[in-house]
Amino acid sequence: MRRLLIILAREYRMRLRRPSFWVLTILVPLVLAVLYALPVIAAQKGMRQATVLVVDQTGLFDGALVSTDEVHFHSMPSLDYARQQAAKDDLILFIPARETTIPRDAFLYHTGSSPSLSLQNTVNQQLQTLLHHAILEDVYQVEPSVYHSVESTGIRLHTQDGATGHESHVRVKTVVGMVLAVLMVLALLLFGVEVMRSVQEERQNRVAEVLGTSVRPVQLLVGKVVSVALVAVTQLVLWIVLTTLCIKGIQASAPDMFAEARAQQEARSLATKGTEATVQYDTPVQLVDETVEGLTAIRLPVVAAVFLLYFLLGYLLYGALLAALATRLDDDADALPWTLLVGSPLAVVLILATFLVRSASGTLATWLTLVPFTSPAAALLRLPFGLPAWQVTLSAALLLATAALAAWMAARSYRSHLIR
Amino acid sequence: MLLQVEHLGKSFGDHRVLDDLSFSVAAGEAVALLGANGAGKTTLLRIVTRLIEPDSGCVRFDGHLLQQDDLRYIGYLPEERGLYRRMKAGEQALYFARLKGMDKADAEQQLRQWFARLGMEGWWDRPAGKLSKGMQQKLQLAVTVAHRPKLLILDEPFSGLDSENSALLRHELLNLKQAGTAILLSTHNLQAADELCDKTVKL
Repeated sequence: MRRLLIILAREYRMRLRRPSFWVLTILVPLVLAVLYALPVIAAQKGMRQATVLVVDQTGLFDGALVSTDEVHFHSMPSLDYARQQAAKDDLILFIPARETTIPRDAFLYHTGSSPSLSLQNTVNQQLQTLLHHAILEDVYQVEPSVYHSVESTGIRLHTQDGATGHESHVRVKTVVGMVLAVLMVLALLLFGVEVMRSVQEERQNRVAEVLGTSVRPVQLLVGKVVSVALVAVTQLVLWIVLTTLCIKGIQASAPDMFAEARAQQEARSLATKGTEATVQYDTPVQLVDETVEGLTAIRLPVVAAVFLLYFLLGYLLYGALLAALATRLDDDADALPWTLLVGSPLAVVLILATFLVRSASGTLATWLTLVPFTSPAAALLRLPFGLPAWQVTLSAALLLATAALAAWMAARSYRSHLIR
Repeated sequence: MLLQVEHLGKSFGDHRVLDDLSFSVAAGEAVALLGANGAGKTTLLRIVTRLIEPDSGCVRFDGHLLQQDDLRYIGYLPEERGLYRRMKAGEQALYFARLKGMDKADAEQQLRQWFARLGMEGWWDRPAGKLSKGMQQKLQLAVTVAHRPKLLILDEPFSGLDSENSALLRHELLNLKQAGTAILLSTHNLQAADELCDKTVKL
């Protein structure tokens, strides 16, 4: 035990001393914080109201298009006049006359850089809505008050648990399941490969021969596997703490900007509601609300506990397999294809992910949750949808047994192939 | 007898490397293993350090079959030196010494003494990768002897050393031998074998 602790302490210390550990530890929270802040800053600083000169030969849209923060519409009598009047970055919206009353095409001309997708969508959505209104009024003689009244109503399908009456939040669960599965696969391979590289290094620099006369191979292997797991936990904790600090720091440095962004988002969503072609429940605010509600319903502490369980067991399995592989490889060039082969069961789950979440309690999903080589990814993918307790228990037990077998095989391989 | 090798046999595929080999080494005795390249010297040393298993025969240490626990009384200097390149010399030597069962304070005291005896006083905090081949060899020797082994197993310890350091190493090995350490030495250096060893085993 004492020797194991000495190995563990050295392996842990050496990994923490690597510049790459600290570069990654600092870089990831910074990237996450930037990803968090960038859209808000871009919205505040970068949004410029575009000017669109409207030449409407149909007479259906002119004067009816509503200017917003994003776009200002300006009527023009003709295309030639609009071209003369257009400033450098102005756009020209041209709706040509047709023989039929229903126009089919509109053209957005630009001289500088092409307009953003968001701007194109805004213009297109307004045209669409106004066209529908015109058809309702002119062809079907529907009063504006009637169609406005119709547009402000809608039906939302609630998917609920029959027993508890709770919302199912399928969309949020799908995203969370995917994210968890990808994180699991990345973590297993990243830290499994770390064990593999460590074994390879000791075989290459001949330290294994010296160590082999002092400690049992299994002690060396366990020391490596546990130390890498501790490094993983250390890095994870540092990422959570540093990311939280970075985001809090950014929020504290410009509190008005973030409050304003939220207010603007809500205002935009209300302003566009009246001009929508169809009843639309996926406004940003509603999505945020549904996400928060969905995440709350998912019971994150349970998800975190199950993630940790499958990570530790899965890491033991893949770490042992990759360590055993490292004892057999004499050429570094062989490492990549073999590593990909070992990790392929996890890749299969990711490839099938969209199918598996659509049928989260189906036969294939259940089998992939029970097979130890795929269970860490498959179980996490299904977890937000609810995993029966017996499946978690059986799958974890099978994974533990396979991991123990893999560790035993790795230790044997380690003993007989320690020396190159 | 401290070490008894009895009827040892080992093959790699069709190639018979060791065939019914027997010899013994007493405390304070030095034995030279002589033989051409590929004669099986390194294989024999790896069997004696339990790194590989023999096909037949056995190795006895202090009267009983060699066990894993006996390895803490054995110091092994392999032919190809094994050091962590990024780890500091002193820290690395301490690590190996502690794996041999020494406590930290005793290990540090012993190692600092050996560093001084081998002319390595200023090297404690230097990464092993920045040491010359000869320096690395002396560091490895300090690692091998720090835990006061009863049996020293040395595989080509003079290779890569200049004449001055070769002489220093011979001097230190003689001191250890006189202090009662048994030495099993594989070498092509016949002069060193003559000077150090009481008997030879030809492979």
